[in-house]
Amino acid sequence: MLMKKIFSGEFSDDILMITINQNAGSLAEAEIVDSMKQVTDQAARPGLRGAVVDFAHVDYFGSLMLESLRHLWNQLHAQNSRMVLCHVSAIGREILEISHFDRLWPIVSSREEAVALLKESPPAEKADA
Amino acid sequence: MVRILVVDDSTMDRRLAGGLLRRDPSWEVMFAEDGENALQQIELHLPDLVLTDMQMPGMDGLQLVQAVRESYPLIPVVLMTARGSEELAVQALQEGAASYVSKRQLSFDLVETVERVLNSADKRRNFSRLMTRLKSRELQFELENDLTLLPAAVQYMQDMCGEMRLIPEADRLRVSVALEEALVNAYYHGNLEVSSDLREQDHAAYYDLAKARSEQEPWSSRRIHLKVQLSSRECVFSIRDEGPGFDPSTLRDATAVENLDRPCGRGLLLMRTFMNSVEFGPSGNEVILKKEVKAQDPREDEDDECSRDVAETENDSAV
Repeated sequence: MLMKKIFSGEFSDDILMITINQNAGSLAEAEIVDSMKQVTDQAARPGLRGAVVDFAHVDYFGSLMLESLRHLWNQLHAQNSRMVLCHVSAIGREILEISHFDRLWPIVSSREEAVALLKESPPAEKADA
Repeated sequence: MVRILVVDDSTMDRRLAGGLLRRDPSWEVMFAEDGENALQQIELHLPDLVLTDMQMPGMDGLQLVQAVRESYPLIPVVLMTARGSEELAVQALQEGAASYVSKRQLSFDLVETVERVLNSADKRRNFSRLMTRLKSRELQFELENDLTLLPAAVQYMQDMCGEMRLIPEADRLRVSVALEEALVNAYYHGNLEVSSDLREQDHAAYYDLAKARSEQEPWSSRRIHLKVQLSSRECVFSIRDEGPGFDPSTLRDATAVENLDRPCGRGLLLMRTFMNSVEFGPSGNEVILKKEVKAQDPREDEDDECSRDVAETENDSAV
């Protein structure tokens, strides 16, 4: 059976909306890495305000998902774009808090809130994180 | 007494189905006119089976199947399909409906279908009851270093913990996350000996090296040994690879601000957070993860089910 790609990305104006299409524990390593490559390519678009990562279809994920998101964020950060997460499950939020990534990426309840958050301020200044 | 809930917005169809089912005097039939009302009835008078129409105003049959699967996984749902609802019925079967019967064939097929589903549900319920009384279980797997086998192993362990009701559902996901991290470590760092440092320097080189080694000796023939001991006191998962091992004290603190930007140690951090204890064997190629079991009387769930018998029945209210 063909599996859906783990990530899919589409543009909404100057924002990249990224959907994680299924649970992605660390054993889905190859799929996560392959699929993230396409999303990071999309994220390289000049003038991108930021990216919204939608976890609506995800109950849990592992360290490799964190690593892939960190990789994406590094790229966004380097081009002064921001990243906001939405629809994160209770366990997902726990995983982000444990690893302290909630300090880097705002977590909100909906896509609308995420987009509003990205639009309410200009792209973040490049920091030294 | 077997209790069957018939859900249909058509009074005539409810009466037809109810009449057929009531020919068996040991079957008590209740009615609801839509999905919302059905859920209220289920909460009040837990049925043994739900028979539902697919197309109804408000919550339709598919949504009802999803809601019942979520909250009452042991109650089977049988669909009544009419012309035009086939696609919805296929989706409902994929979502876990037990069977279906065509409305046009109701008088021929309904009773037989319900009997078959009830028998099957009864077996499933008794098996589930039996599993909650299992006191301990021990399993050992010797797995090839094959990433496609490992998710099945994690799913199996998660299912076992669920069957024996050792770990609540939300915690089972946490245990799965921890087990996946431990198995990934055994696969990449243990058996294939590719280090996080390489991933930090060059993502692609890390995966290229892993792929190359997975086809070369000595790495390709190494195994992962998984030992599982489940008891009413604790769940112990031992994962051992055949690599040279490592010194766990050399791992960086993944939560330290200076390491937040580095791909290291997060898997171990998740393991330590989601398990009650994580210990490495002396050679560093074995990790033992333990999850305590909170005492739970297996009969509690059955008591909940039995409590329906004292509930007042108002089963004809919607007819």
